[in-house]
Amino acid sequence: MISTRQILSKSKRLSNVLQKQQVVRGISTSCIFSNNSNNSNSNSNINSNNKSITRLSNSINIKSNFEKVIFRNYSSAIKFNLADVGEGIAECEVLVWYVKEGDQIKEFDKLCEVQSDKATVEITSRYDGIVTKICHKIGDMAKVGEPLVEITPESSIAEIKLNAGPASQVTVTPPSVSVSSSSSVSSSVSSSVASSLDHEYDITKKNGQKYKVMATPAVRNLGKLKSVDLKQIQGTGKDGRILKEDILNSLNAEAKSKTQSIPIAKEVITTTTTTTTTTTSAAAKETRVPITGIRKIMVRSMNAACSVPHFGFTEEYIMDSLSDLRNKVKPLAAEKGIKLSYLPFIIKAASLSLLRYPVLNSSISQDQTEIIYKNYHNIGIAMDSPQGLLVPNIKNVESKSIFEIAKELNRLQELSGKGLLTPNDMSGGTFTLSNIGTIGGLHSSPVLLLPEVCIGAIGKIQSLPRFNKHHAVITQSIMNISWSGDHRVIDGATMARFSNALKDYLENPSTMIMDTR
Amino acid sequence: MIRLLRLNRFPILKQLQIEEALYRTPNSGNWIIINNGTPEPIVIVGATGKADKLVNLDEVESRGIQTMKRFSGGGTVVADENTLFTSILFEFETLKQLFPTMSSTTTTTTTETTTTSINVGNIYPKDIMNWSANSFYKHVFQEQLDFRLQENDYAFGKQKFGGNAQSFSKHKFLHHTSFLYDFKDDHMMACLKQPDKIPEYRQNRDHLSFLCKLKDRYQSKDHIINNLLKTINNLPTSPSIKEVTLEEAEQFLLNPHPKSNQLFDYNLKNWKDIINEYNPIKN
Repeated sequence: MISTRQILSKSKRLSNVLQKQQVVRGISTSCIFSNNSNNSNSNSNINSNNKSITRLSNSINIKSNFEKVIFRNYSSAIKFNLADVGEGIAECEVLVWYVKEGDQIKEFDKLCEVQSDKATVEITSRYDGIVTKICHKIGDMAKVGEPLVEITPESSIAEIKLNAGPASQVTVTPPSVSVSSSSSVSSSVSSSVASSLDHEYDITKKNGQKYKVMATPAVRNLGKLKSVDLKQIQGTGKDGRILKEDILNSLNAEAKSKTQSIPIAKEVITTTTTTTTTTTSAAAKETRVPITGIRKIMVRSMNAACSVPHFGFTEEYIMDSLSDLRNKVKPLAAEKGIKLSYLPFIIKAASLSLLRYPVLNSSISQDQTEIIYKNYHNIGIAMDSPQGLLVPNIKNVESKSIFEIAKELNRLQELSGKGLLTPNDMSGGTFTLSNIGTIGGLHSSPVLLLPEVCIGAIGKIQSLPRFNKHHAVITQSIMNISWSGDHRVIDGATMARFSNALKDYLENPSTMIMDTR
Repeated sequence: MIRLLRLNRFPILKQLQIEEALYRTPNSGNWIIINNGTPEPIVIVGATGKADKLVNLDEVESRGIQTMKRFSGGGTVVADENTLFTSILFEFETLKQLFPTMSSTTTTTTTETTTTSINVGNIYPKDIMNWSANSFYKHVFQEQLDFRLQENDYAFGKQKFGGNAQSFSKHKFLHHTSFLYDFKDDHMMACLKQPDKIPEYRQNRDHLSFLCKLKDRYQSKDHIINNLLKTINNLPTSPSIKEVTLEEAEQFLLNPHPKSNQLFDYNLKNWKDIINEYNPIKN
């Protein structure tokens, strides 16, 4: 039996050979060892890899079958993304690599060091395995949430060993879903965070008591491959964690008991088969996707916001006059290359209203003894982007014209769509508007973006029947804004007065000109 | 236990080499280092600092001032005998024991903080920055009612008097600060360029308008050092504080570890590894 160590040793020698031979028939070493399928397990990708590998094999006379097997199964490499290192920082400079391609690495070994704003941060591995691709060189800016390195976990290599044989019969281990370490500074900032998030606690019941099943992703992967129920394994690691050895020992023990009690085997197998079927059926009904990147930040933000008492307030705003004004100036804006929606007007009107009710543009000090009034209006606009909900802000709205606000809004929307918003765009917000009405909806209950104390969700504009002062029915364009305020510092009267001021500006837009400084 | 190392006019270059050894050596323990000045003026750039973008190299060279790049992140400073250096190197477990209800910041679109009591394991660089200001240095500078953390700087109001740099690894963090007790105005203006990336509160002010001096508020550096020692001795749960010698700290230099501090070679116009008794590199 060929050991995993022998396979790894041979693959490392092979890697060295390939690197010395440089590119062969246009296929580079990194191409072979990288996950060309982007973690896809499609047959076409596997076949494509197989062809590339075959050409390379022919070129450098690889004779051993198990070496061919190794090549094929590197399609199971995991892309290890750069973790979120805090406060929405979008990228980090790579300072130093502690590993190189082909190195064997253990869980918690140092991978590299990156620089984020004021801190250098050490990134450690979450897996045992082989480093198959370094995605950034020293000095590169690595984006948060994008691959930093690719690692083939040891469980995948173990599968290779067990399935070594004629190439056409090899079972390819399904690659794991691309794992993001954005839960923390990829387990390098705090070991307890690494523990809580890497080891994927399952709360399960045993003898009526709930307990946590603790195991790293690599160990869980091995458990799935071997159809081992981790709940049945006694972990020997720290705090009862299940280690790879525990699974292998369990399998060995099971194999021994099978050879020792053959007459009972048939009955046992029947039962096992039934159980397996059930598990497979149950497993097919759900798909687990790790919460990563922006979504992970959202989970944290929303959890924090839950501790703040929100109160809601909704008002109708008649948009006919603003609609007329917008239609008149839209061509002017277009000449300047600016796409003019209603939002720049609403943003400016909100800022003018905040000048009169500055408490809605404040935050509470950490010890909750002071209200911190901001002398600037950095108004955040919630945007739906490919990465999820983002809230960049327009800086200093109080000193910008509506055209300038519109231009900046266009810029942020464009960058958001491309995933290119900068940390500066994302930080320093003091007040937020969410224009959810462009997608749909009339009323909502927006959640505060802490430490801000007020947020407004703008509903869609509808043409509705209303009474005029002569009690005749007329058609009016009506827009609702649903406000949420931090009830610790915002009372209903202040919110209502702020809304009235905003209503005046939006319904009589000429007054905005009179109050603009 | 926390080891306290007190130095006086110790070369900051050597101090940073010791700190790097302590930081990169596993199980090196908890340390607080206080150094009252560095004997010769020196420009210190952060880990990714581009010397030509941050420093007026010709000016610095003509003044006979060295330029070094430290292993930790952060900004640029011209340090001299009137700079007070303090470094805190703690294991996260220790921090958890000393401050069990330490809070984490929300990490979305703002640099302000709010509190949510959660597992202290979720600690980010910004959390340590907040903790250092609100749980440690607030007590050191308690007489100054306008002391605050402005983005990543220690300031009185909107004037910075202390700059910070941090390094994070799996089990520990390093947070070190250069406090400007005094500085030579023309050194700051002449040696340092306006960086591309500046904090928002700086509002494009030049160095002299943006910075302030501790000597305008404290009669001596000793007063501040005494405040530091009092704060250390009054840490929650009263951990044992052991004052150690330089030799004890230097022992850690013997452990093999990656060395990232560098000196700028004005002739080659590039960074070079440091070759001296602390960091012998065979050519």
